[in-house]
Amino acid sequence: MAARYWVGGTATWDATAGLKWALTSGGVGGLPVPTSSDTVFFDANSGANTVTLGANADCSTLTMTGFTGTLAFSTFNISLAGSGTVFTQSTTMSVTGTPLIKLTYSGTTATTISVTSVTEANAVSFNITAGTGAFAHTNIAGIKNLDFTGFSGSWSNNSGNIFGNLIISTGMTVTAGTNTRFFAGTSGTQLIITNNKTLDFPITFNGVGGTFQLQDAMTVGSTRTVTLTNGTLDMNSKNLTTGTFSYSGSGIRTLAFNGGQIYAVGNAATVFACGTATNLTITGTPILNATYSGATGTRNISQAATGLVGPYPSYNISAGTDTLTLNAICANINFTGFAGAFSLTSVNTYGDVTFSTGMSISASASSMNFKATSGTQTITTNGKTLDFPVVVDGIGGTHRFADALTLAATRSLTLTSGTIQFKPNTTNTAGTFVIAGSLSSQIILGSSIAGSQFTLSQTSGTVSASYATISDSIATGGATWQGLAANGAVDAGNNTGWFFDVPFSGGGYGNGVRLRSFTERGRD
Amino acid sequence: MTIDFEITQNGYTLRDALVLPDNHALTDAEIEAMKQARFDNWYAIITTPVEA
Repeated sequence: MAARYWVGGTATWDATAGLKWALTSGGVGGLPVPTSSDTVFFDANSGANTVTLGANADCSTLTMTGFTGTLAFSTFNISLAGSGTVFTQSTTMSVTGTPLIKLTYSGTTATTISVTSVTEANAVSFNITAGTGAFAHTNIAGIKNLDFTGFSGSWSNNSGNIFGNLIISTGMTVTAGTNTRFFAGTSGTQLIITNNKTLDFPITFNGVGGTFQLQDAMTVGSTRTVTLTNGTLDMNSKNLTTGTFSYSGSGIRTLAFNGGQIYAVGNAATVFACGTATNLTITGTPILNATYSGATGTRNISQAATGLVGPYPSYNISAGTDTLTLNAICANINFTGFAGAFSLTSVNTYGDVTFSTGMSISASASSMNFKATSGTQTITTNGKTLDFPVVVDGIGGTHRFADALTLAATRSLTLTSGTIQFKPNTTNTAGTFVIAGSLSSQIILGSSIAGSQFTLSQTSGTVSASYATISDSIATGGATWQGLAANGAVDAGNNTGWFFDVPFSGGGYGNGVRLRSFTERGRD
Repeated sequence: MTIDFEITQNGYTLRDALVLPDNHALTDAEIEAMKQARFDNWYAIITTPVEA
């Protein structure tokens, strides 16, 4: 092994030795071209020159500390056969072309590349093609592609930016740690292949203008967080599994599901965090799954809407006996499998909601708001008493209760717009029913099977329906139920227990003297 | 080559892919076994609580 210092000025690194290589820094040139057993140095004494690869090059190690020139790779690469610290990059130098360095050492000794604070423009790609020892890069690293194909050792946990692709090999191990790795490419599409290895460290996607595309399912450690700060995370029809997932903030970012789903297995944390949705775009069908199956702590889900472009996420809370809080604008919510306590913070849902048989529902003064303005959304309570107010407010939407709706005695069911359908032969109970449409948002209140009655029950007071067309209902429980034509209420038939105004035969509703009727057996 | 696949068992769906060399010598049975192994590994991760 011998040292080779570049003293060749601006020239080509090729098979011609000339006077390019010296034994010492700034020394006299004339040594042979480096081989795979030589240690190569570019340093301050190499000058601010451009060294261009004229062919693939070999050396044992390559140290570029203090070099202020440019290493022009063109389409060639450099193979490093050594172990230990095999490559050191200077932040004062530049690279051009398609910079690629291959680490070919096949032994058990650790290898390290020192690439601290290297920028995207000067980042080099590395192929670690062999070896069974540890591979490490220094902290705050800057790397373009990192390809471990052929490597069977372990990848140490250090922080850094990967500006290009990441390929994890099938035979390697990935060391756990708390240092965050950033996918930080700002242009093009960066590919991520993990080959069924768990990346047990925090990961942040933070590349303004970049796209990060999963090539296979990506699994991150169950206590780690994946964060989307900037750029596009393209699920590419693959699953992403992590401890928690954060996509909050104001960076320009896109979650492209494209058939993929995100699974959060964490607990005692905000498992899906998007408290600020500024500049967030969601494409595809966003399905977020919270699968923690233990009993410890409180899981939170937070989804803001302001600034969000695209569909709202749907949530499946499929397991757990812990507590789950929900503060979200969302599509579907499915608690099937969840057996813990649900604590509602604030929910606007535009989809189906299914409560599980095994869960409990904590009291909350905040309401669950059903807001869909198109299609039919199904609400299934599975026998649970909802101890929070419920508001149905979706002009043009249909909300259908698949089973009996029971609200706690102090809670109200407020209907302000849209079509609301109750299941026949069910008794639906609330502390207070508020049926309050308006001229611009009429209510259609009826049965999910036309002609089959359902029951509404309130124990006391008066329920005065306005701007509501009501059918197939039995109003009971002790309260007075009335629908005044002057307020836009319409008896559409098959109602029992209501007081409805009867319009003049030749006139409209609400003018002049009206008769009143009490519906006892269907339409009077 | 990339072989996309999807396995649903016990109510959970894994959407994944096998990324293999173009000249791989795996049999169909071996590939199917790899897919199932992927699912089993993932299923264990999402159903085994590791607490913070």
